[in-house]
Amino acid sequence: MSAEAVTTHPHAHHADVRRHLREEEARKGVRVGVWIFLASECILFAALIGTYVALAGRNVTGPYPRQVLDVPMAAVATFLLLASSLTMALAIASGREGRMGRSQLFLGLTLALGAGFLGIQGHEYLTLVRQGVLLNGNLFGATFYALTGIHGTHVLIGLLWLAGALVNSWRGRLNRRTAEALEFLGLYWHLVDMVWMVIFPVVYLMAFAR
Amino acid sequence: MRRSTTTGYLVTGVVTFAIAAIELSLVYLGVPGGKAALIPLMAVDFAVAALFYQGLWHERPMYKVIMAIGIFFGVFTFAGLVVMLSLGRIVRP
Amino acid sequence: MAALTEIEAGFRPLPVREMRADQGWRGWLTSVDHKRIGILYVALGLVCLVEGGVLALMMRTQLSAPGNTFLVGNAYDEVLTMHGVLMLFFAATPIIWGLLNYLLPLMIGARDVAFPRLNMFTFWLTLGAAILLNASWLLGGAPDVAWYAYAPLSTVRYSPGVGVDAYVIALLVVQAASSMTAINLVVTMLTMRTPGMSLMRMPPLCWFSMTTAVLVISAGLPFMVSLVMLLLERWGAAGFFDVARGGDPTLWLNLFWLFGHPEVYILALPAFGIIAEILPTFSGKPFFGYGSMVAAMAMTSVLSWSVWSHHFFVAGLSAYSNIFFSTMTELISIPMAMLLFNWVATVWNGRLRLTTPMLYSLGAMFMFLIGGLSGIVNGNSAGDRLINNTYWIIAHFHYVIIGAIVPGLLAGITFWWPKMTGRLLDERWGKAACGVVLVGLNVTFFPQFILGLDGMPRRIYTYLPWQGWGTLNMVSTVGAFILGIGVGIFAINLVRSLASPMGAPADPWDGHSLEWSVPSPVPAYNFARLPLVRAREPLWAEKLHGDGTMTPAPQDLDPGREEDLVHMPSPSFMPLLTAVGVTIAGFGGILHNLSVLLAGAAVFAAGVLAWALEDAQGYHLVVEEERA
Repeated sequence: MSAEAVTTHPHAHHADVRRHLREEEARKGVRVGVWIFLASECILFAALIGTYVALAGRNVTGPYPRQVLDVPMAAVATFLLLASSLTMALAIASGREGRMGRSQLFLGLTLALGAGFLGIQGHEYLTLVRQGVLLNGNLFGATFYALTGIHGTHVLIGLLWLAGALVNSWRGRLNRRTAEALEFLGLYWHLVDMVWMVIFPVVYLMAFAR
Repeated sequence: MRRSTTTGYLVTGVVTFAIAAIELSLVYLGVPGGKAALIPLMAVDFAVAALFYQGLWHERPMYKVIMAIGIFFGVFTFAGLVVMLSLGRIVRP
Repeated sequence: MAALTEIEAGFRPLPVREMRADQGWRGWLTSVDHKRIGILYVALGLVCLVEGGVLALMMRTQLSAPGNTFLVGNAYDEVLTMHGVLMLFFAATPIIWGLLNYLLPLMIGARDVAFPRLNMFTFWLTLGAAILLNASWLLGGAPDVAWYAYAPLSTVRYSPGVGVDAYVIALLVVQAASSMTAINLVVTMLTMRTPGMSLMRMPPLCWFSMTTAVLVISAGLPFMVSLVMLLLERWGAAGFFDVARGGDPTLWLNLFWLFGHPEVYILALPAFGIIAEILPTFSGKPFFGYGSMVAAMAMTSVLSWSVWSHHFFVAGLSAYSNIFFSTMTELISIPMAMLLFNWVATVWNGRLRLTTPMLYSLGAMFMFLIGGLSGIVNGNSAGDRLINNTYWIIAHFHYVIIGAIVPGLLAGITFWWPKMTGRLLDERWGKAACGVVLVGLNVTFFPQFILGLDGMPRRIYTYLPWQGWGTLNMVSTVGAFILGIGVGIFAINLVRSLASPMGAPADPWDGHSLEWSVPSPVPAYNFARLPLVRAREPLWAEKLHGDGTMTPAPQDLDPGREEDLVHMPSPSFMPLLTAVGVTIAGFGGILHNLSVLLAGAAVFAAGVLAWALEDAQGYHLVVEEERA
């Protein structure tokens, strides 16, 4: 069955108004969907981190994590990501309070910090490759790139989303109502940050701690 | 929905920073037993980072249930993999 | 008033449309109607069921006599693998999603699912994955590593061809699609129930579906992780499963079966839910033990995550882990038994009407009992040591699948056929199909229990004359053909019905749930007015205490309706386009052709962008008020 257009209908206008009054209803479904998606991401990273931990220390040949991991650089990246979570939370809080200018600023900061994180990670990858850590190399190479690569992809997707949100705000489409949609991005971003709070100690710190 | 204050977020941010800094020091100062201490610290940092969600604490319980289910199965997966892969290690030739 | 003005100033009015007749194939390609999508899924599932069945008949023909040369070596392995993969992922799962897609919104009194375009997208993804997988036959050989594709056999060193690449990509796509459907259904059930439909008033099928969806979303992830690792191994020589580099084949074993066990519940629970709808209807009694059913669902979902190692008891890992998993496996029989007791108690003392769906359901109960009891033997590591890798296992899971799951699905198709197509199926052909299928099942698989105990291994393409397995194998093969005839009779019944004129009543079976309160076939908008639910089994409550029709919910509780205008989602071409992009990219992956891969990715990206930017506000549909 499909439908064909009519030009006017006596109840159309009233229907439109009532529908817009109830947009909250529609967003509720998206909200639940986002939470389910985040819950599933927990399982995804649990599987990846579990694999990393299970296979850690079984390298037959080098390079070994202790030899090649640059903890200071990774620490800087970690602080950048943590800070970006803070600025994201502030962006959303500002948006809810109606302070769009501040919200925009914090969004921009989040984007910059997140891009910084990825930049450092990219640089780290290049360094590691030069030192012989390869996906087709030893176990450390395979599991390290798989875990951090998939996390990094999540960061990248978040950054693209952020960029979209920023573009939207420049075009003046950011208001109190659409700021709520930004919350989904915030939920996602915090999760990506929280996962890194597990990856960083497990991958970088565990290799060195006695 | 109760709104969280800027202070709340700032505090969360500072605490996560602090814990991460402690984790780093453990490694760099080479504190003995650092490895064991790392695990609870990591768990605490994870939980504190979750406080970035504090603005949502008064949301519907459904979301907490959903997240709890996800974390539950996540822990299952992690523990299952780590335990099972430590068994029956193949002896290298 | 000020708020109203602000809103009036800020929005764009929706177009208003009137119903008109079918728009043909274009309508099918762009419709986001959950009912259309459901029918497409069921059709795909039935086609792949036939394909998988033909493959099974080929195997059974080969095994009917010792030393046979009909289908040997790698060719046999390819048929074996494709039979499994097709049946599990492209026959059973699509039929399940199809029926659930069609029914769940109706059962909870909604007009569609939460994310209609996503729903459409998942169907096209599934179709694309089916095409990808089947293309491997022509592109150099189907996968030949069995449906569980153990590493290192499935790694590039031992399986360098196109087959396993096709397997990995097709399954990644179809599992992602399944997860999206699952999220869609959960969100729908949690947020779009009609007024009065509390969670504990939902029809049993909804709870079974909720559990299934939770399992799909959660267990699908370890599976996708293992598939990605296999892909990285095959394309990037990563060493996850390579012992020489310290890798571990048991990584695959664990990740796969972490998914693999919930997968069998993912298949079983919807079928059991269907049976849980049919038994009450034809016993004239409500489902017995609704609360314990919900508890059993919760127990099953948790426990199904704690038994995966029973698929590799004999891998020699550890006695202690075997003890743990044996215990958990025996424990999981408890919720299943609770369910069986609920079924029996539902039927007990009822006024039974032995229609086709009822016969399928009753038969399924007994077959499930046999399959489940046999599972007690292989469910503990001691018993499993005896019969692992033998035909006992094959008999066990086929008794559950063809004994309980397939009858459940066939019963469901029969039961809801009038609702979906507006025509009734012929009862005599239906009962004939049911009888032949159940007879065929037993003749095929009961001998396999004996063969298993006698030591016949599985995954072999022939055996020797002096082993004494020839007679039973021949019997089993005859049974397989009987089974095939039964499915054929079922198919003929469907075709004959489709060729006959419409005219089925809205409620041919005296149903208890909301889908029977709307016309057959269901109009695009489902409910002209959302019903007010006043009890579990809402339609029976109205028949007993009301006038037999549903009371409409108060106007202001119906967010999608204003006077005689109903808010409908817009049709869209973007899900199809995006899925085409994924399929093209998949082909690029299989063929190891970067340009094709990038072309597919470009189409995918374009599709996603267009999807995000298109006007998805929907339109207002003029509906005629239904007269009694």
